[in-house]
Amino acid sequence: MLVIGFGNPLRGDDGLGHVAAQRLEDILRDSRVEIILAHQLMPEMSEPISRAGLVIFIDASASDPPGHVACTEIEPATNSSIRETHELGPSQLLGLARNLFGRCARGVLFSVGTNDFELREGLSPQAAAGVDEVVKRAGALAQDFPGATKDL
Amino acid sequence: MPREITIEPVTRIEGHGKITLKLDDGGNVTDAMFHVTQFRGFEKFCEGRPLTEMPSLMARTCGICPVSHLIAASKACDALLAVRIPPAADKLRRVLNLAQMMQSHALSFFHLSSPDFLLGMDSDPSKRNIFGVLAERPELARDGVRLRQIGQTIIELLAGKRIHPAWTVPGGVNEPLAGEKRDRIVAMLPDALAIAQRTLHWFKNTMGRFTDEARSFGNFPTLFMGLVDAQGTWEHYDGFLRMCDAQGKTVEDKVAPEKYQDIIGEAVESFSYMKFPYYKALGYPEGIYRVGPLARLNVCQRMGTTLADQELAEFRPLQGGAVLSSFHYHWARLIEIIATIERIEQHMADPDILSKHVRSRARPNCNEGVGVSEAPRGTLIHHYRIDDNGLMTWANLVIATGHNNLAMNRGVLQVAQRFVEGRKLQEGMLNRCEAIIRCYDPCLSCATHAVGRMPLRVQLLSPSGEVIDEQRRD
Repeated sequence: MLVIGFGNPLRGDDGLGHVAAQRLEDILRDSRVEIILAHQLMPEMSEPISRAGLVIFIDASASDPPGHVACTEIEPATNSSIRETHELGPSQLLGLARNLFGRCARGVLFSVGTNDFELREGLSPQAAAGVDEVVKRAGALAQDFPGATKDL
Repeated sequence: MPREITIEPVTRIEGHGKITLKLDDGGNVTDAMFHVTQFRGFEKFCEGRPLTEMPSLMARTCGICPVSHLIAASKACDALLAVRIPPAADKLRRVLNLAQMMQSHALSFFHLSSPDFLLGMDSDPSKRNIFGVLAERPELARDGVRLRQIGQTIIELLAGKRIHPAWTVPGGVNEPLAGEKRDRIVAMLPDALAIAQRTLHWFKNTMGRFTDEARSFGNFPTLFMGLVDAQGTWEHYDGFLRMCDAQGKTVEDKVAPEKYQDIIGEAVESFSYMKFPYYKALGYPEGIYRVGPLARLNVCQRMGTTLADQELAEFRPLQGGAVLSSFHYHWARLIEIIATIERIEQHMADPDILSKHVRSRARPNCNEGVGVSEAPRGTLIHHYRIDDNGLMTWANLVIATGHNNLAMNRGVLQVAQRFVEGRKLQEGMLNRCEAIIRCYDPCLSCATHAVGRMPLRVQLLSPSGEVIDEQRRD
């Protein structure tokens, strides 16, 4: 299983992905779980995604109300919708894993709504509460996942 | 009839820049400029900071090249402390720098430039990217992703994280290498080498489609500069500065890095935020020189490892004397990837790499220190001054990409004059103007630092975009 927490930890709540991923690492303590902390999603992540059964993405969302936690099942994007690495989202990354390596993990995105992206470290109270919920729900998901990749 | 063509932004490079082409009434290019349009200010805002902060602070110059700045900054701080770092720390820093070179060269070749080689300079720009490569030749895209991942994983295993790691410090590194991590690094190297060799094989077979580009992409005589060791072998972390001319003859040799100002001057131009370094003995702009993979292969007598030396023997005779065409930066880059892998393997086989003694400690003992290393893009110089309390009073950064500024500008003019027809403008012509810049694999975020007082215009805008106030300095 792979957990990818992404965002900029020096921009307020944009760092919540890192916080949540690190807390999941402490809770799960499973050698089969790999944690990746990153500023942004990169093509190089497609290789570990191709080896995983489940990948959990965790990110802040500027388009949701502050504190709102969303859990979305991610489908791999097709070739034609992948345009550039600066806009590589979870769906495009799953698509890249499938196209490059022939295999693709099940993908789930947990996002926490916020409008706090100030130049500072640390989370707002609403983001912190959202992280608590993400950790609880992602942890439960991790305990239950079937473990099979989508082989093609 | 256009008199001026602007290419903005220059795509598939790191950072922000634009190209201006000036044309005469006949539609022929008469002048070209490469403008670097971003400004960073690191040399100024580090003043007053403790020297111990400098490696981590300077690493924030860039997200692609943080390791390069960590290394050069740490070396400058070593000089301020007047310490000799433990041998194991020297080796570990070298491995970090080699991994950085591997992953950065992989990014440049596979992600930024291979779309041109595989799909063609005139291909559909919407597909001329790494995803177009994926569609056309997935194994090439996969190799690029994997090779970059290997380099980044080595950095992470050594330093704790891939971007902005805080591992290299004044006096050495802050944690030794564990045996388990050493074994993981070693396990990845065969895969990396296989990728590098088959990519070089593919590229050499592809070169025939680009003979026109190889003839006209920055193909002119300049000096070349890079680090070599005392025996003239390719170096990346330490050694001496060497310059050679277009015939391959050495014009400066065994220059101690801290004496860089004896041979290098810096100029500014009003159309760019990037400085223009030049070879002092020839003045500006006649003292044009190049750095980076092409330069390093030109100035060294050997690579110092078996496979890389075999490739160097094939590369050297390309043009007789020094290899001049900037198109051959790509070839040189691939040879350097092989060299990095061979050298990492050698270091990992050294039992001393696991030593626990990885840091020397001291208080500041000198008020001036210079750190020089080879970043993937070329020679990187960090020059610091501190007060007696160890606080920064002054910094000068001469960045790899900056050394190539004169050559990039001249290269854009050469390419534009060869390929751009103002009366019959086509996208592929303009892509070639960008592609010459890509040969140098510039990092413009790293390269924009100041000398003297630049012309500046600052506008204060309201939230609605109205200009509230303006200050100018001409």
